Amino acid sequence: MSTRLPSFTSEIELIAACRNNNRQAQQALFQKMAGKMLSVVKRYISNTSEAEDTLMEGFVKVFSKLDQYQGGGSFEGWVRKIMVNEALMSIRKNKDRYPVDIDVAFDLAHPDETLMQLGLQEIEQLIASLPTGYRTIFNLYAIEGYSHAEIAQLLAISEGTSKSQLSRARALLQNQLITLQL
Amino acid sequence: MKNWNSVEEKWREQLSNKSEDIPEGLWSRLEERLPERLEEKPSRRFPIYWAAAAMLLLALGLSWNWNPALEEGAAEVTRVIEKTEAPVEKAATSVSEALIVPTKATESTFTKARFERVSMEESPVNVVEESPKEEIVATVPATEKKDESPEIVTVRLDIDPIEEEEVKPAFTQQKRRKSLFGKIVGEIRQALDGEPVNWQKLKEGNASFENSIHTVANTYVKTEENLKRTLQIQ
Repeated sequence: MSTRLPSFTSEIELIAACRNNNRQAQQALFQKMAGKMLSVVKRYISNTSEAEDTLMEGFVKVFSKLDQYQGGGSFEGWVRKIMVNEALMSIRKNKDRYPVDIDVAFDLAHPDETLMQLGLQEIEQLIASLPTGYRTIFNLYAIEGYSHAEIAQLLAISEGTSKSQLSRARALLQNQLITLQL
Repeated sequence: MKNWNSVEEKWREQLSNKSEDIPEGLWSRLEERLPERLEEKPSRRFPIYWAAAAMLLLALGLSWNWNPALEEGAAEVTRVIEKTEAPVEKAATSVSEALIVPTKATESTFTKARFERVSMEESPVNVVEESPKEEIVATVPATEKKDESPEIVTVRLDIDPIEEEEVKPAFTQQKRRKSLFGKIVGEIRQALDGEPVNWQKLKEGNASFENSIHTVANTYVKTEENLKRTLQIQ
């Protein structure tokens, strides 16, 4: 990673060079975005090597589908979507089931004040402690900002299921706060 | 009291800028995957089925147009047209030049030369003398015939213009190419199967085709005669 790469003055220039299959530009783009994207993928896939593999698959897709990027929205957002999709595909491949029924008896209307005080690492730890299904829905809704309709379409579930899974995920997070003594 | 939305918003902000350390060699691993993946991507600009369709159309087009007998006939028609049109214009021009040049030197077009009447008295022209027996056949409009007098020399060029009707049979034949071609193919298949082939049958089945060949030949001979005559006038 210590290779000195030619500098591209703008993101548009970098994207154009990547479209022309310029390997140096592709490496520059990878170096620029890989860290953030690995963090995104890791929120869905806790296994590190699996997350890295998913990241690479995602970048292969990014480079091969660059022609489809019209430049309308943010490029980072576009790449992030690809990474999220790739992570979901990876979860599906590994036969992890999304929704798991767990009885949670917490009042979800008012979250614990402690949740607001948590640091970045603690938040990550808390989210990672959730079962795959809840974690996926919570990540999609709370962190990526997808709507329930979009989540339902992505995971091939109903909107109602998405909503109920989110509330259960929230309840579980509060529960985990005590368990993990954060 | 905070609600979940505000908690999630805060978490989103914190997580959005989170960046992981990329392990060494991850790019190299990715690079290994890239060539094969990106080479798979370029699709054919001209898909194979389009190429096949184009070839088929080309073959059909060629076979449709290919008919040696008809081509010969068509070529003959073209030759006749070429032979007739150019010399006629030339001959007409030269005749008019010989008779009218001093007065109408600049107007020696084919159309004018055809219907021009020249008065011997009016123009001091050196008319080319013709032998008494030699007759110049003329096609003068009927209205002008009654004005004929001994002093007036009327030039008539009996050149049959090639009418479209004469060429038409060849054109109509072109329309029949398909059936004729089918018959030829049928005969060839028969020959390949080892069965005797009656080629004469092909000819018989296309009487109009034979007629058109005769028409073309007649036109050719007729035009040739006319040309010879015109050249004699010169």
